[in-house]
Order: sequence, then structure tokens, then C-alpha cells
Amino acid sequence: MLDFDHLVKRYPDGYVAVENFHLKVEPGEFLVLVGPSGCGKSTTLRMVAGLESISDGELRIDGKRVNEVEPKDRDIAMVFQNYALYPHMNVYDNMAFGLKLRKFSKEQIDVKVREAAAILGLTDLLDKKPKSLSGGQRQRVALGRAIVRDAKLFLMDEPLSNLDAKLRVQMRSEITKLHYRLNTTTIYVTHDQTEAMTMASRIVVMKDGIIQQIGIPREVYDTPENVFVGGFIGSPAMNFLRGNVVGDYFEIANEKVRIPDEKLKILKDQNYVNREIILGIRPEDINDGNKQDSSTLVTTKVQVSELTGAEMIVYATIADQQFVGKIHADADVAMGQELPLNFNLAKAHFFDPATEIRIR
Amino acid sequence: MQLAQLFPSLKIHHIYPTRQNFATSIFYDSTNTCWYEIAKSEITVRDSLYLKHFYTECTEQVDPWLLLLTQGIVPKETPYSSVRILQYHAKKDAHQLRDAVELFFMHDAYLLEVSSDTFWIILFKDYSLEELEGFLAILENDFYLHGQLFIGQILPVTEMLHTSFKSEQKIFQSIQNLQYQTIYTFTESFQSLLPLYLNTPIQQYLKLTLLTDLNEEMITTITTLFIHNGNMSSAAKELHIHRNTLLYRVQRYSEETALDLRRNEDLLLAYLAAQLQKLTKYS
Repeated sequence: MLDFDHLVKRYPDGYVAVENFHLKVEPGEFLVLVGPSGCGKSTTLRMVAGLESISDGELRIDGKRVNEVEPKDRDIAMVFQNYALYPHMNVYDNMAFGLKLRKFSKEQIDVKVREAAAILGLTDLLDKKPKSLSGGQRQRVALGRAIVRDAKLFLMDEPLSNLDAKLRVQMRSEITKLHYRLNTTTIYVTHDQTEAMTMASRIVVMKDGIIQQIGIPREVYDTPENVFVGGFIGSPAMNFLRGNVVGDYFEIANEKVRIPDEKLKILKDQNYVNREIILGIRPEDINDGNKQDSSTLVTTKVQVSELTGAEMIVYATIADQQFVGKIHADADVAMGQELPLNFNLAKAHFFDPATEIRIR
Repeated sequence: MQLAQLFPSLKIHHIYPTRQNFATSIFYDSTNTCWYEIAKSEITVRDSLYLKHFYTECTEQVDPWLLLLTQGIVPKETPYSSVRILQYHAKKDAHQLRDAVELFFMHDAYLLEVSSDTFWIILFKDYSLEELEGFLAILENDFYLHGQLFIGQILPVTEMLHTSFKSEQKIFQSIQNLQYQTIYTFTESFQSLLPLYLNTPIQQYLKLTLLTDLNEEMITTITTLFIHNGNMSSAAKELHIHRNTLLYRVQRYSEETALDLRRNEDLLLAYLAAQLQKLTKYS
């Protein structure tokens, strides 16, 4: 449906905002571009919209090159972080405006606006002006303006960033439901990894204008390509601990954990024995579950513990290296105490300390 | 200057030449905020088209808003005690901007076309920042206009308005050259550019004393912490790091510079240093 063929965005002073962006988007897909601010995700979206020129590479929609096609001729609807609403028009007129510009008949406009309003729960608000609406309602109207267009492609640039946390969660599921209902191919930009994980059919993680990893949410979470992706996706973030491969063990100062055979073989094959490497391990894989197997138990020092209800998050250290673990809610831990924790290395990853790429 | 080679009679004015000589034509250069006075006898039809393309021709009937913004000549009767000026720099043909302004602001705004790519929108009523940001989204979404918008402060309508506006213009020009955003507010831009206006010894001091061995990570950390008013938890969240990691960075910075980023005064100094490094990185 949408082909990014080695796209590049280069500014006149030589600054490269997007480098070699290469990806195919399938029809009906909900693709999420995620990364920290300045990673090039919005620039990529704006190149699709035609609001930024493409310096190099080719962008195709349905097989046709659109690099030079005017934004109005691309059949794309956009939703922005800032609500694109006319303050002096009521909700109905705001939603109808795009259709009026495209010379739709009054009757057609009425049908489309009322249909979209019903989907978004805006029927009772059609007479209201934007000022009298809440943030969530305003963003719903902005979505309505995109829906009525029946566009081939939806582009959403951080549409939930201006909403408070509670409303964000609510709107997140509303957009997902909407996508399920309309099945319009959508590219969604966010810096929020939770939005990416919960909404995407595929995630593209970006940093410094470069794609770091493309995959379905589970894949990106379970097998991050590098330290950046591991640290960016997941909350609390993946822990990274520096240590050495000594014999069959991963050693940090005086503590050591046995490396599972399969992973050990890879480390040996790649000549990482007796070298420093980075262990990447998710908080849920550090726990107080298995106290029988001493080869996976590590003595740690508790800094802080936080009871979240169902579980307890423990912030601890091994030889001054900090990490986060998840233990049973009823565990009795005190600040400064020594706590043996089980490190499940079967689900962990090792990364090269120089390149920070996952060793495989 | 190339214009002087083309038009030997060229006179450059830094305030609008009110006493007009009918044998000359005047063109306003919004980029350099000056007026070019050229003898009509030297201007061919072709020259005139080019000059009008790049600059705004000033006729005897000068727009009162242009007079106010460029010279501080306050109209005798003005119903407005204060205005906010939006500067729009179009990157593509912006002929639909007038329609967009009328539809969005109705009677609350006046559009001045300063040149083919520079527009000033004078707002008589106050619109929230959120609404003004929405205006840019409207320009892109409904009118497919591609450009940059600078949102000025609310300024009193006095003979000093043009001086304040000139400062806003300078700030817009400077920030435009340094960043690639589509929307800028005066306050954000002012804050980002502030270190450049410090005198040289202070700039040197900041560079040498506070930036020793500072990497990109620490610059981002300081900037984020400053934006979050020193709030560790929200800054850590935006940085996608654990609060303890942030505390560790703060501690490490304190060991190197003796600045405690948990104190507002120290955070401001560190922020200025970090911004300075960012702004002068490529210069």
C-alpha cells in the first residue's frame, strides 16, 4: 500500500533528520513510529503527507511515486497533537469543512458528518463550539474531521499528547476500536512506548533518524535488536548490567549467574569468553521466585521498594550497578538489606559493549 | 551589495522614508528590515517585477498597520490597546492564507502580506496557545500550506510597538536558522537563544567551566530537567530512564561542576551552559 524506498530527509545545512528509511506498509496496517523527540518520526510522517520534501529515495502509494504529488492530491487525512479546529465554528461545521472544500453536496456532507459523530459519540455535541468542549472531546472532533474524509491513509502525529493520563488511556482504546471498525491504513507517531505497544500492529523504533528495529510489539519487546530498543520499549525499562563471561558464568564483581547452554554457545562462538559484555534483562525476569537453584541466585542490595498492589518493584544494586526487579507483593524487604534474587537468563539478552548490538 | 550595482541610485533606509520623492520607488525588505529607495528611471518593467517579487513595494497609501509595525506610527484612532503578532513564513505558494485567516479568526485578525513568503497576522483578541497551534494544523490540514509560524507576545499598541516587534522578528530569524520546527513561541525561542546574548567572557566561562567532558546525554538530561522545572520524576519519565539513574547523573554532574541540579539557581546556570553548547555546536 505504502512503500518507503530508502527515504532521506536532509536539510540545507547538511543535517540529516531521516536516513535510509526503508519499509513496506500493508493495507489496513496500524503502524506506529516510536522514538524519543528528534528521532525523525514526525519528519517521516510529514514526508508522507507532502508537508516536507523528500531529499532522496522514493515514496510510493499503491505503487505510484508520490514524491512530487501535491499534499492535496495524496488522499491522506491527518490528525495532529494540536487540535485542528476552527474556534468560531460548531462541531458540525468543523467536521463538514473538509468536505465543503472538496465540493461534496449538502446531503452527502450531512450523512457523513452524522455517521462519524455517531461513531465518536459526538451526536449531542454537534452544536457546540470547540471552546466549550473538553480536551478529549476536542480530539474526538479532530478525529471526526479525518474520518469524514474517507481517506486512503490516516496519519496521526502524537494525537494524545495534549490529554491527561486517564484520558489518554481511554482515547487509546477508542482509536484502536476505530481502526478495527474502519480498517484504514494508519501511521501513528508517538514518543510513548506504551501507546506503541498497545496500539500497533507493527512498531518501528527510531533513533537519530535511523530505524533501529521493525517488528510486531511482542517481537520488539522479547528480542530487542540493541540496547536502545531494549531500554526504550517496556516499563519499567530493561536493566543493563556490565559484567564478564567467565567459564559458564556471567560475573559482576563477586556475584555470578550461570548462562543457559544455548546462550553460552553463542557467546563462545562469537569469542565473548573472558570479555566484558552487557546483560539486558527485563524487571520481570529478576524475581524472588526460585530460591532453590543457586546458579541463578544473586545477592543484591535493596535501595527502594514500591508496592504496586499485585507485585512489588524493587530497586537494588549489584556492585554499584543499579537494576529493577519485580518480586512478590508480600515480600518483606527493607532499605539497605541484602536480598537474594533469581536472574532468569533464559529470557535475557547479551549485547556487545562497543556496538550495543544484541549478540546472536 | 548587488542591488547597488544594479541600481546606482539605491539608498537604504532603516526607518520608513515618510517624505516620499515622487521620482523614486520604495521597496520594503522584511528579511533585513530596511527600505530600498531607487530612482524610477533606473527600474525597467522587468526589474519592477523582480523587485516586487522579492520585496514589498510601498506606495503613497501605506497600510496603517505596516506603519505601526515598522515605524511606531500609531493611528489617530485605534480601538485596540494591545495586539499579538503572528509571523508566518511560507515555504510554498500561500495564496490561500487570507481565506484561512478569515475562516479561523473571523474578524479578530488582520493579515499583512509583507512579501511573497512573509506574512504578519495581527490579532486583536486573545487566543490560547492551544488554539494558535491548532491554526498551523489547520493551515497544513485544510489548506496544505507549508510554512513556519512564530507566535509573538501580547504587545501594547504604542509608538514603541515597532521596537518590540523588531526584537520578535530578530528572534524568529535566529531560531529559524538553528532549528527545524514549524511552530515557535516567543518564550520558548527566547529561552533557547538567551545564552547567545550573554557577553563573551560569560560564554567562555560557561563553556570552559561547566561543560568539561559533557556529552550529549548530559546536555539532554539538563535540558529536560529544566523544562520539567527540576521535577526528577517527570524528567526521568520523559528521558525514559529510571529516577535513580537520573539522580546518579545529577550526582555525577555535581561532583564535576559543584552545581546541584536540584537547586533552581544551579539548574538555570547548567541549562544556559547546555543550551550554549547546543547552539554553538555547528558554528
